[in-house]
Amino acid sequence: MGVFTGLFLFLVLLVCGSFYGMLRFKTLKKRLQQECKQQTQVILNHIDAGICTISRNFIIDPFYNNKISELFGQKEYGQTSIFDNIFYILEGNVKKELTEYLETVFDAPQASEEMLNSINPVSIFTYVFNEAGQVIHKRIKTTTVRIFNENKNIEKVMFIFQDISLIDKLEQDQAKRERDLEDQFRKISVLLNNDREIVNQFLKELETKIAELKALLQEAFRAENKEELLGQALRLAHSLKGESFTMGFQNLTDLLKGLEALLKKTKGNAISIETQLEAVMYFEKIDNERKSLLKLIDTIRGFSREIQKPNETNQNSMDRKQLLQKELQKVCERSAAEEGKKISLEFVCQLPELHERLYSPLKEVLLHLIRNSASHGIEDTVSRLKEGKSETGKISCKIETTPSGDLVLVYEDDGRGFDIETIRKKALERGLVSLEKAKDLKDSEILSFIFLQGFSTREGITNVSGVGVGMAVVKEIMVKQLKSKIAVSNRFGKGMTLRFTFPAVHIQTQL
Amino acid sequence: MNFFQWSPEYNTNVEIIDKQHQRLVEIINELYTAVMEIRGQEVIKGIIKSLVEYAVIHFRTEEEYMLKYDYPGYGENKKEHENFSARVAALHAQAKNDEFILSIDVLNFLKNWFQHHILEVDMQYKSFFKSKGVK
Amino acid sequence: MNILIVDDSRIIRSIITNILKEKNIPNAVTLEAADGSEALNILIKTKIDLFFLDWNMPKLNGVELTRAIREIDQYKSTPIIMVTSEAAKYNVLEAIKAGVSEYVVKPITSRNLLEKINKYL
Repeated sequence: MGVFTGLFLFLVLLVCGSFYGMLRFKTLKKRLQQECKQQTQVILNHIDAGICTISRNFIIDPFYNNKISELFGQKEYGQTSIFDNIFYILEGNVKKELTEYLETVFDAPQASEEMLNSINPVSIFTYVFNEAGQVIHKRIKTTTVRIFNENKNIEKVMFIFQDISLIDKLEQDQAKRERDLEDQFRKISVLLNNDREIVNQFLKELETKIAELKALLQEAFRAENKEELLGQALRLAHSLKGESFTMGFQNLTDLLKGLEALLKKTKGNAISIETQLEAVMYFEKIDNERKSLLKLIDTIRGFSREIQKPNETNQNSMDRKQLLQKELQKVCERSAAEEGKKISLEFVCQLPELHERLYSPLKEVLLHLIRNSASHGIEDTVSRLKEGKSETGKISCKIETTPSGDLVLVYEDDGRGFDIETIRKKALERGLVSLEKAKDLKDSEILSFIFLQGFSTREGITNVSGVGVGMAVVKEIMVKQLKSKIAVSNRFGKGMTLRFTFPAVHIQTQL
Repeated sequence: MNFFQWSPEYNTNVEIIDKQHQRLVEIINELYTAVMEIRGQEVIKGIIKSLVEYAVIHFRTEEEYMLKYDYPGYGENKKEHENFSARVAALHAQAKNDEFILSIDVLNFLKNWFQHHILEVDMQYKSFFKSKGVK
Repeated sequence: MNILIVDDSRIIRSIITNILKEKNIPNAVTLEAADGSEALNILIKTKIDLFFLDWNMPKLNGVELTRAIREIDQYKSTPIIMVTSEAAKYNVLEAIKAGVSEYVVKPITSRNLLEKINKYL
């Protein structure tokens, strides 16, 4: 009996002992595993990438690192599907691709990691989320790594997420800096290629005109008679656009074009707050553009001070006649090039000297007339040849004196001339005249419509014209400012002549 | 003409916070008036300076209150404060470098901030502070 | 190192052979087969360490050949490089599922080929 008890006791002890041993061993193993996990966790948290692993069913394991929360938001990721918590933002077809990809990854132990990542549909994706009312985009780079078990089968797939938004942003910034630099170079070359005098003149006037534009807009926003003032602002912006375009400053031209289009849309004495704000925005940008042009020129002047050109002339001693001629030539060249036509300009000024008070207004008037001829009046080379005209259109500007002491500006082109019927139709369309009246109007009366603001027989606004403002400016300057009479002579199909007669006495007394 | 007219529904009923929010509205209106009169570029540097002051003082006040009474939405609110401060800091740097700042951009930024953070996020602590008897 | 190149085009086979020759791999022997069944005959008799397979071949195409190779225990993890003009995503996926290790799209340049096989040499 004792032996059995002894044996029994021994067996019990053995079993207990082994249980105890196993327990202790298990605890040790667990502790080791836990410590290992902790260590791994520490390492994972130090890596600047979000790391998580998924099983075949796409469920995320609970030991992902902190960076995942930082990248994708504070949530519980463990035991959730990666399609619910991270890839929910993908489009349906990308989700499908990703599912296919992951299924393939789990079943392709022989494929190399690089090859798999080269077809990873989310190798770079954009994660979008809302923060403080702002939508934030993160560019995330994803790498997958397969985790094999002892049987060389794939047990888990590890995802490594890196935020490359900063790199992206740096690249974007770099691209923007390059574009800006290119833009600067272009501007500089424009400035260098233009005549020094013309550039100086342009910039001097630009400052004045922009100040004028500001005053006009300020007044228009305040006052009751907005329509009138906004109309003036529109005409000014239009002129500035033309000049800026002639000089080759595309940025400035585009901004002025925008402002012009905006002002053209406003009707009557009302202007909405949005429109007003938009106009201010354009103006601020325009003024800023002017400032940066000035800075650019100063920089260039700094360089060119080293190089003294023998024919470098002082602004004051430059003959205004010559300056005007140069500028008009330039306008003609630019407009012709823009319209794809060939146009030559003849400029003759019989006056011994072009008075300062004549210089600006005449320049502006001729600028508009030339641009109108280039875009509406003069035909393209093919059409001209068909008509039996010379390939190159001719514009002629003459400033003469009459025996009675008046001044005459004669502007002529050999283009299409005015199409009376089209103008008549347009006037009817615009409700400027009734049907009966329209039939009875004389040609000269019909021609007077072309000077109305907004009257244009052309659709669409280009860099050159089409706004219907040019002729209105011409009339305002010649008639209001210079007290001129206008005579229009039309040769339909062959060209037109405008004759402006104005008193020289008027100019003299303004001295 | 004012961009924002202060209305009692903007009140959170915590006196000092409401005063500070009103200050922001003042700044916005100041900028708005200047912009409408095409004086935006003249005042923008001053406005940015005011915004820096506003951010420092107001956020500190608000956050102290939220912490003191253990407001659960503190974290989210504070994060938005940080974003705002970062943006204002960037503007400040631009102004210092004499870089071009479009007034309308700042105006829109402030408008959005007011509509989202103050009228939506901050408004959420109105009932919370009331329940804690905060005035 | 035994390298087996399987492609029905003799030209392609010689291009790959030349690229490998230039790389000067020590102890490398290149073998060629014009189709899948020829390839199987070779690889059963000689231990191959690296495969280059074309996809479109008569009798047994590259993907089917890959599957056949993977069935064989000793070739379960031998590198198989598919060299093909098929570039569509679904092609790549199919080849991967069949068991290829790398995928090179024609035209073959020495650079894109060597890049992919460097780790196996």
